[in-house]
Amino acid sequence: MRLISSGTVKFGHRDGVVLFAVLGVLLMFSALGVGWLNLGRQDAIEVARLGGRVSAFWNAEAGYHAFRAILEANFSVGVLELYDLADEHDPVISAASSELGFYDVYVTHRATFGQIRTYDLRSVGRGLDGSLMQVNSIVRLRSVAENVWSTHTEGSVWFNTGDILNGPARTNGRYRIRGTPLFLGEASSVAANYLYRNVYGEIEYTTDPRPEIFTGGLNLGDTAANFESDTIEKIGLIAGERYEEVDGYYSLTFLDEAYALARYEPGESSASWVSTNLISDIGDPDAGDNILYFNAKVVVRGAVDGRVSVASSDYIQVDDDLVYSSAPDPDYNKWSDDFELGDESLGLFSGQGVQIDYPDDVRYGKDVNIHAAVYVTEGASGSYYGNAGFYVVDWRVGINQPSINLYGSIVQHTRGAVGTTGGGGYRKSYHGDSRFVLAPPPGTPYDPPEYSSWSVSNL
Amino acid sequence: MKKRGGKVDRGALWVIFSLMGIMIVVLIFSLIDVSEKRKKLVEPPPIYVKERIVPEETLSLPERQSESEYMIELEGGEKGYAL
Repeated sequence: MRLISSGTVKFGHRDGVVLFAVLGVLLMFSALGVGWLNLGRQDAIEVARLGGRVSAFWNAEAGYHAFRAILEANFSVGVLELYDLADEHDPVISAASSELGFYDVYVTHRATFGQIRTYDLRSVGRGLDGSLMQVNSIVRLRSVAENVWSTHTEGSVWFNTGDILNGPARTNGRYRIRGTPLFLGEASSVAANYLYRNVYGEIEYTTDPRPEIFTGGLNLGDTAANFESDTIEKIGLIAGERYEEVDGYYSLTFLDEAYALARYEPGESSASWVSTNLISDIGDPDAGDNILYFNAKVVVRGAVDGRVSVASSDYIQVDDDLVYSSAPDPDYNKWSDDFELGDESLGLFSGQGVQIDYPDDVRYGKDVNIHAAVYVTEGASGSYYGNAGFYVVDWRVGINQPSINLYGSIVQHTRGAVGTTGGGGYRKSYHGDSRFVLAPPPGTPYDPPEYSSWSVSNL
Repeated sequence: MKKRGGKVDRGALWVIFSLMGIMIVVLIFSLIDVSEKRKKLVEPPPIYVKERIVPEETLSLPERQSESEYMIELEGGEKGYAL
């Protein structure tokens, strides 16, 4: 009776209900908590998966940019050919990081059109979770001889009325224009403007497209082209024939399919050594080693029937017309419109300068005729426009201003002077050789590669 | 008994609510942790690209000048331009 009337069971029952209700709520919260935790975990897994793919992509992209930077810093003749010789399954560069994953870059030869080579570039990136992504691109090598005019610096040298550039022109510097010279192809410069002497005799910086001058269009603020000082030495390494340093100079005369070589001691008028050979015996033009390399000054002239290049760590001097045998006239301006040259090509590559020095002719108004791809890496130390690049030795001399008729291309680090506004030297008549797009002379250096068709794919 | 029973219930409630509080704190911290990890995972690695060198003449931009600044001495002492 006491037990029954005490009400313990009754109160205990009520307390139990509250306890179970609270426990129920607790269970619900716990379930909700577990659900949230699980959601968070799922989310983290999703993020990790996405993160793995993202890091794989960025690794692939980093590999692509690393390859570009390495190639830009070390680019030289044939560097991609060396890569191409490597096994297709061996990466040319790799990098791994314990925090980010790794990348492997593969280069394979894609196609060759003439001497233009294209390569497939594949950069495979891997994230820490094993995700793989691939960045694909195509690398194209362009010969520097595709442009009729290329300079690293224009210096203080001007273009003037009467000058004609027929073909694409470019400079890492700034053009200086006086009067109405003619740029028939596109003119590009890294500078965002050009210098122009206006009718008041003032010099102004302008971006005016002036179609009467820049007929082929004006492209300002272009990206810079690469000019490397050790290119001539690299060409020397692949040359078929090498002639070492002498006190005097060499004299080279092209006689159609042959060439005569003589060596002169300082101050001597008769040769101390003479040799005549066939151009075809120098090397294989298809392999690019049909090159005569001199560690001394060389004086050149004649008619060329073949594909050959002359390279010198010293000056190359042209002292008489230097033309292709199949040309109907030394002056390309006299060729008929439908005339097509044979397969001859000539490269003149110098580490110091290519100088024009026709004996006395500049005083009598005789034109200079050259058919070649000219390439000058650097001027002599302490050089200026009067002794560097492609220049005329007597550039201040004369009053008639005959023309330099050059069919080919001129690439020079430091622009040289060929005349003056006072009538000295020569005016310019330069015409690009469209054959150089596909078949430049042996050993012609390439521009830094162009990259095209960037794409990304899953692996 | 009534008093004693009430005391027991309040004690149990304290324990339960303390546990719930701990769970909520743990839950909040775990959510913060997940979101931080997520942020870290989507950050890309840095990329360095070498800059090209351009000649100084393209960088400077002097004002309009008279042409005598650009002239040089020619043969015979005249002034003119190199071409």
